[in-house]
Amino acid sequence: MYEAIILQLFFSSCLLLFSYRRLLRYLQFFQQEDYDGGRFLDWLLNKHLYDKRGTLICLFTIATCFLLGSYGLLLGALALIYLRTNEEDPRYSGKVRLNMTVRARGIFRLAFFSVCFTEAITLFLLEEPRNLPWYSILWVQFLPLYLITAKLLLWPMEKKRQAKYTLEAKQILYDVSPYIIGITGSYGKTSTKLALAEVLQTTLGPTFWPQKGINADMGIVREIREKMLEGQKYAVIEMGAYYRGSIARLCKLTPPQAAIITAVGFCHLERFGSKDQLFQAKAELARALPEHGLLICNGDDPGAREIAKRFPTHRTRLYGFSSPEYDCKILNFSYKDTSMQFQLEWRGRRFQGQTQILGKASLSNLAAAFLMAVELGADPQFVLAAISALEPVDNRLKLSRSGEQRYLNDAYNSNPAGFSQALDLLKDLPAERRVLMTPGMIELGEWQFEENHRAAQKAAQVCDLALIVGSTNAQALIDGLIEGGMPEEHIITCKTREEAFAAFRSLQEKGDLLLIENDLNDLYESNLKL
Amino acid sequence: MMEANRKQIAVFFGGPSIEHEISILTALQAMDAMDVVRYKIIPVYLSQAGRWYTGKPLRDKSFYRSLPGSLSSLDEVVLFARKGEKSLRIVETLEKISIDAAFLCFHGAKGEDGCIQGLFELTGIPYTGSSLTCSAIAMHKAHCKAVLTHYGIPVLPWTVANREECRLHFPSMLKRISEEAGLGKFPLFVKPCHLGSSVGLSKVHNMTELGHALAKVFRFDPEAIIEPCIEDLMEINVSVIGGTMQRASSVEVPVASDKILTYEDKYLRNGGKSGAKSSRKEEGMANLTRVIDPEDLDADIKTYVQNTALHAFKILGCGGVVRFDFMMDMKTGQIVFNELNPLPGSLSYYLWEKSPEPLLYTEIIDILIEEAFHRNAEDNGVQNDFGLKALHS
Repeated sequence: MYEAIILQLFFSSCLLLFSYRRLLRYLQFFQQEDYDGGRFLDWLLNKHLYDKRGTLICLFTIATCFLLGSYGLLLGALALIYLRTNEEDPRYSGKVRLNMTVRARGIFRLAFFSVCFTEAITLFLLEEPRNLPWYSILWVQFLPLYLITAKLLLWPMEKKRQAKYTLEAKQILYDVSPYIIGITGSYGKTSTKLALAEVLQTTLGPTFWPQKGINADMGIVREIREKMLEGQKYAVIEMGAYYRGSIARLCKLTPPQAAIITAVGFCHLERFGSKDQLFQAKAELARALPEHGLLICNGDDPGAREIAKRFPTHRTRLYGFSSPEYDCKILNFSYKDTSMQFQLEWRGRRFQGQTQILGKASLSNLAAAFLMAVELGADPQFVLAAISALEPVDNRLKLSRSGEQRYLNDAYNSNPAGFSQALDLLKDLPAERRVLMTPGMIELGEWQFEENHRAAQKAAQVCDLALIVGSTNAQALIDGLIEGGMPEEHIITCKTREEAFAAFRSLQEKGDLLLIENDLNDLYESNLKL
Repeated sequence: MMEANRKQIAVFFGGPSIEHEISILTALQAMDAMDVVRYKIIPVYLSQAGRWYTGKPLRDKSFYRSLPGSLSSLDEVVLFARKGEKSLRIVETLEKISIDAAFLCFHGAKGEDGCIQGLFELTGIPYTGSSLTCSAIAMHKAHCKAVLTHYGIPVLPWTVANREECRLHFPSMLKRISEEAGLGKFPLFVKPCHLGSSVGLSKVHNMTELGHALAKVFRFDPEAIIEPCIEDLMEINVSVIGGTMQRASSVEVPVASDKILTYEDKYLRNGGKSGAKSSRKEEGMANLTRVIDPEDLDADIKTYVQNTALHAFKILGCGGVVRFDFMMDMKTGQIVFNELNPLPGSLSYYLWEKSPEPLLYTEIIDILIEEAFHRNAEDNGVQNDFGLKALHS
């Protein structure tokens, strides 16, 4: 009798240890889906990432209980410990590690407490020890639901906390009163933000900007609370459009006095439903400017140009390559060693510049930063000097060298225009052989197959060899490459990025240039097993 | 030695500096070399965000590869800036961690330039290395040159450009630099006024490049120092150690991959990236390719460099272990002072191991700690209470 109770308790404890780690793993993906329960469940079901290993152990325990009685629980418990020990800790591993923010901690604690509570109740009510593994299967399978429920239960508190932090951030903004520049666009907004912020910091005065790609309200609130300082004259805020009204909401938090719109493209189209909705979402930034506010738009992008037209009361400026009418025209760009030379024409004067940030698209972003800085009163020569000092942000069209091997890293890219520009750059850079490594693009809704297919067709014109990573877009990419004219034997499919690197190393030749295009987060890895 | 007799030495490193990771390497080396019979080591890591942490995982290099997530396994600590506060406090519990002395392994801003030294001055905790004043002067390349020039130590001509002025008059600033005495001819060297480790360093050949180089410096430092470039140059470095008997080490001639010593030359060459394979002692500044006490270097030159370094050490009131960098014009034979590092990478132990009177890393650490206690006692011996005479008159 006592033996059975002790064995039940031991098995339950091991199951809790396993659940603890597994909950963290699920939380990692829940966080990557912005704690959106629906999208998280879609991902779980589409990828078949409901638990298999823990469930198999429970089934194994049921079988051993038939043979050994309650001692079967002991074997099951040991197997669970083994599984738990070999399961990665997502706080320290994974391409996008689990960030244990206050919110993540709260959700995790409540979810884990709920698991413990239901397990304790079950143990108390359980009459037959051998039935314990059956219930355990339910607990393990329901772990993602515990997280979603915990998030829902905590939502009122979270909302209150967010409101408090937002109020604090607004107060700081009011006290510091920087000149706020909002930046949005389907692509190029993070690069433009980083370039402009550094240029302003050097050439005009102390500047605040949220780090990396932070472009959603609570991320910006946190950055303001933690990093905005008295005396900062400018604030450069990247504004992500996640749904209609999200930019308008950000504009209430950080009311812009000037704005840059880099492009209105197809990125995250599935979240908007239609191109018009996406256009309206981007136009919210222009709409939020005060009368005669400075609006700088990419003249080469039809959507951005259209937004410029629709707000005639703003001080509108256009930049780009294609028209002599633009306020800032990019001319004569060429590659020299690891840098790019170019000219900018502004107010009838021509300025020579250079940059280590490669690619025609990057040059467009730099022109936006140049135009904003000079319109705000910076010396054009000093601005170009500051641009020359900028370094490529990690994984964005960065040309690096490892011994004889050169890599063009564009790993964070995930949109058709960016992919196309990376291929253009790959074509322009000198190389004996050009190799593409990519898992393709995601979040393109019903256009995902078509856009990956199209990109692959273009890649076939540029590349000599292609390494396709994972299964998410494999078919579209392979079809596109073959239709584009790449021989089938030059296409290699790999399950993981590591496998693709190994394949490349085994085939590499002197003078190869490898483009690493997009590096999907763990959500899209085909080898994920739970 | 009884546990109670062991000195509790807090090793401070990291900090909000561009040389953050180099500081971590220096600290890991120093902690490995410390005499554990004499000292109980308490690692204290200052994150880039400016928070202080302590805990055993800080002794393991792999810990830093998982930052910032791995910080959750540590205790966050603070130091109250009040006289006699000889302990850190754990933020969550306010539990005290007593410390007898602070062993500083910082490089760059806030740790090597007098900031942290000022905090220890306020609390009265003995700290290793140079004093607040010396650290502040040493870490400002222009001020340091000005002081040493006053005492007759030869330096190259220089001028300073600051970001604020460039924002107002960039073209005239470029013109002004090129018209400064001794700077009329390209190439010139442009470097940050406050940083080491060759960060932001450029050699420029024309006005356009000068502008670019200034903007590059201003990403890291609000002030740039501009000097003429010695085309045919040999760098000669020497370390000086304080304590009861100040002395200079053997000289070294660093070998650059391309005439200018870069950050990569200093920290990433010779497998610096594959740290797991190389021994910890060969990481950081110790990783640089160099010739120590070169046989074909004239003995008079070595002596001159060592004596000049000792002289400068006294002028600036340095302490601890300091590295002086000199440059020799191979055409004229002129030797000039270039810069000094009040807390050099790897604490220059590699120079002392190969000196005529060698010092082991462990012995260097002992000297530094003893000197810290001595200086603290001396400082406490000065009168700092004059009574409230003016208020009562």
